[in-house]
Amino acid sequence: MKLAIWSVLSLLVGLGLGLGYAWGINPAAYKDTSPASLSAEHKAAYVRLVAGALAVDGNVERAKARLARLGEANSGARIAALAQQAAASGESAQTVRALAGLASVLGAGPMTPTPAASPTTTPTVTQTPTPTLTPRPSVTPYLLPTHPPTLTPPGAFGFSGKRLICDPNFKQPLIQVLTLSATGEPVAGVEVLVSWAGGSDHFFTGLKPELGLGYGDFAMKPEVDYTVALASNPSMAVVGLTIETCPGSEGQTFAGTWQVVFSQQ
Amino acid sequence: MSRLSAIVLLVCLVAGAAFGLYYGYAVSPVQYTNTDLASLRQADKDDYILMTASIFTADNDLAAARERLTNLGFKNGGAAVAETTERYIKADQPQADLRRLVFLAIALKTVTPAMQPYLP
Repeated sequence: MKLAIWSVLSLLVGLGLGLGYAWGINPAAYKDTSPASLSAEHKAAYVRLVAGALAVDGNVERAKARLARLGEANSGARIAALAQQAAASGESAQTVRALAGLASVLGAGPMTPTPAASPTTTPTVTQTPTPTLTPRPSVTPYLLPTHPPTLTPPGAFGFSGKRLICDPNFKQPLIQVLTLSATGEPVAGVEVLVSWAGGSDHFFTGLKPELGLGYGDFAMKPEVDYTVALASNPSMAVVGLTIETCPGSEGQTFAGTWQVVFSQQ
Repeated sequence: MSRLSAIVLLVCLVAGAAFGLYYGYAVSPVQYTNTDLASLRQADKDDYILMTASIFTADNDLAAARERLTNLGFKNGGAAVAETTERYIKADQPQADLRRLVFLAIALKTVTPAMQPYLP
């Protein structure tokens, strides 16, 4: 009986020694790992790299295969969220644009973000005449013989129009910006500048893919006069956007939302 | 303790250790998470270097490219780029990829004879 107890104890000690060696002293090799095992920080860096490479080589299938190696679902919305974080943390416009481009090719929701609009009120603002259209800077490797495709179709954007959307369902008045290609397709990753007396901000289209790849918005504050332009051509600005009131039911009013559309020529 | 008892105990100890090793290595090996880029397998490192080269051809930011290579665990990023490029050349990878890698190798001053056909 005593021998049996000692035998069990010996077995357990041996087991402990074996596990201690296998898990602690000489564990399975910590090398040749896959991107799926990377830390969240390194995964985010990996995604940025995939986005940057996609912006250069335009190879969507390769980008998807690279993301698949991360072993987790990287939806357009998730990449868009990463792009929003990048924009919020002040990363380069190139990085944000690349992430927005990656988000757009991963698929997103419908293009048109706005609900049905009520009749447009008489605009009280005027558009600054467009002087010269400066082509958007494109990613061009200066020593390479071939020009890689870009996610954003070439062509300068021009102001296409604006309208006041009177929809009481909007929780706050917005400046919505739509960027469209010459064929009317949404264009993601376009940097939009918003300025007002004493301040300025910027955002990118495509960071809310559920609202459309060419969509971006900015919350308006009362009694502030906003100017909206694209970073690629700041001189072509839409000025004088302020909160306009819309007629509501039973004589009440509510704040409307401005929608500004830029299209490639 | 009799000799038989000692043998029995020793056998139990060895059996326990053997089972522990089997369980620790085969049944439930250590699962690594939160690893860093330096631990990636070579093929993934090569692809990472290719992505670094692709971005470099667009932004010409050599400092950023060096940092990415350092993050990948290479003290000598230039040598790593040269090795990857030569592997890609031997594997007959697409010309566009080879040119991007060579472009970065040029910037890092690690051009090798095998890269000559892909020089700009």
